Amino acid sequence: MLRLLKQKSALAGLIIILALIGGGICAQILSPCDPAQQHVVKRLQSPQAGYLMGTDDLGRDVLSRMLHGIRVSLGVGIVAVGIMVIIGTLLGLTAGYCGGLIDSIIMRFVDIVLCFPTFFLILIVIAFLEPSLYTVMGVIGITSWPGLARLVRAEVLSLRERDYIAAAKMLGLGRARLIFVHILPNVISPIIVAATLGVGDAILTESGLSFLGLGVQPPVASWGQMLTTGKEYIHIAWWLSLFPGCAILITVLAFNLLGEGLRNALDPKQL
Amino acid sequence: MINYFFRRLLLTIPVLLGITLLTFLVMHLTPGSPADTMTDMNLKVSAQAKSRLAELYGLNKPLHVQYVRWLGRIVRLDFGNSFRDERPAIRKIAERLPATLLLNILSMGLILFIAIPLGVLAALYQKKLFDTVATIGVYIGFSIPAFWLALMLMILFGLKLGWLPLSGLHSINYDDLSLPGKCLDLARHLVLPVFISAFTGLAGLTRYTRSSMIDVLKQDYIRMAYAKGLPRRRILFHHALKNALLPVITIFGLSLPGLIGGGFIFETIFAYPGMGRLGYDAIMARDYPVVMAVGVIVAFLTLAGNLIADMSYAIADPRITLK
Repeated sequence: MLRLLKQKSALAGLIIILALIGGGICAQILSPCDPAQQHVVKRLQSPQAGYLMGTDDLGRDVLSRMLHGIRVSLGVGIVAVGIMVIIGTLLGLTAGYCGGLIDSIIMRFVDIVLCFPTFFLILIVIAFLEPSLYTVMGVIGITSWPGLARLVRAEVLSLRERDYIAAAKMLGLGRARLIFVHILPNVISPIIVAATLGVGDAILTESGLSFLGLGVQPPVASWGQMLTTGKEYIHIAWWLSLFPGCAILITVLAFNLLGEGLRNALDPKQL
Repeated sequence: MINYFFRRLLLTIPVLLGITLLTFLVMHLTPGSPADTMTDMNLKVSAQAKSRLAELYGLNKPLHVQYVRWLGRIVRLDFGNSFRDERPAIRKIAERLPATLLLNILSMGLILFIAIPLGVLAALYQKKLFDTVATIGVYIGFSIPAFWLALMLMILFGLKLGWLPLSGLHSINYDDLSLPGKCLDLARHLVLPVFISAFTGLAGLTRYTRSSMIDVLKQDYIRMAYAKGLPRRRILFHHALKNALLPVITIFGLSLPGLIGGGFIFETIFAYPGMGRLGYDAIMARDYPVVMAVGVIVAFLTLAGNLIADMSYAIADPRITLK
């Protein structure tokens, strides 16, 4: 923990993430207006006192929508990564520990999925399902696990031959206990790093999908979807594109810096 | 070596089959049949006509029969005709592939050109100001939404400054231009897409070069070279860099699908006539033959890229074939 806090960039990432979580939880209190409240008379107002980030094409307060957008971005990021970690870890552990035919089957499947650009797979599935917040979370989660599975398998392969595992086997421990109590805790650090970096990736994917109109549906505010509006009014209302774009950039950057910091802190070789 | 290549080739056979099977299943298990898609808009279509259509495309056969028949056709590169304009899907891809390859080869070249020196310098000045700035710089590229950056740069260079064209690959008067004029026109259209694709793809290779270089510099043979009194430049470029760059070959192979796939949104924004936009339009129009063709061909290209990367790695580092 101390090693993590010593790295300035990781610390900055952590502070930004904590601030975002706080902002997301308190979005209701912090927002000056209702994010869905329309004031058609006050449409496309530039940033000013009262509307710190201006208003959009329907006269909604951009700041309030940005604050509520935190919930969508972090929510999608965390749930999608949760799904990714569960599938990736289980398959990686199984492949690495069992070896043989099971390993070959799982790893060939990983190879196959990795040949497709992830965004292409996500687009196909989303386009044929009803786009919604939950579809987006689920689809990002179930398409992003192969890299993690490969990573976990490689770790397990090197652990499997250790003496303490042989000792645990000789004590007659069951397979499940061996895997979950003795192997899993030792592969947890690369999983944590991959999960942190994965949140950033998932947020980026969600914003792309929402930008294309395939993500979160209106009136729920999402940064990507705000950028779609921003694109239409980009000649006259720069604030509609600038703020959501910067928000995505800063959030994703924070997760990537934290992930990199965790990697350095958990792997002493790097420092 | 030959033995290793042969084993590596054999391993691609199940993956090739898997790619086709996955594409086929994803397309057939999603709700809505192509026959419905084609007739939904037309109220006059009778149930008989629909079933005739289903028969024409073999949709009333069991799934595994359909798969085998489809596989038989794609071996001969026959992906069927597009539902939208009845042209062969493979023809549409052949038209778009050069533009995507051009963009990706240029941006990969740019990535190599920037990432390797940047990674090496960051490793040499580890934890100094240069390292910090380079690290944050490549992470900004990695974290920025490519479509947003595209939008912002289009506004800046295309509208406000008017230096670069906004979209597409050619100007309207392209055919009337002389040969140098054509090249210049093409280059002007490519500047923004290549820059964005390279900037957002820089992080992986830079970070990898950096950590690989740091590892190599700690090796005994580097200390030995210093002890022998070799000049620093010779040690760095002759002894260290060569070894540090070995794993970069693999990373390069792995970044292929990202480069082709990352293009989906910004090819759409730039109205760039490439595979990403073709795929996106086809998915939105539920043009099944084209979607399946794009999926299979992009995945095959990636597989081929990985295969080439693995084999070049084996040639560059013969130790790998012994395992």
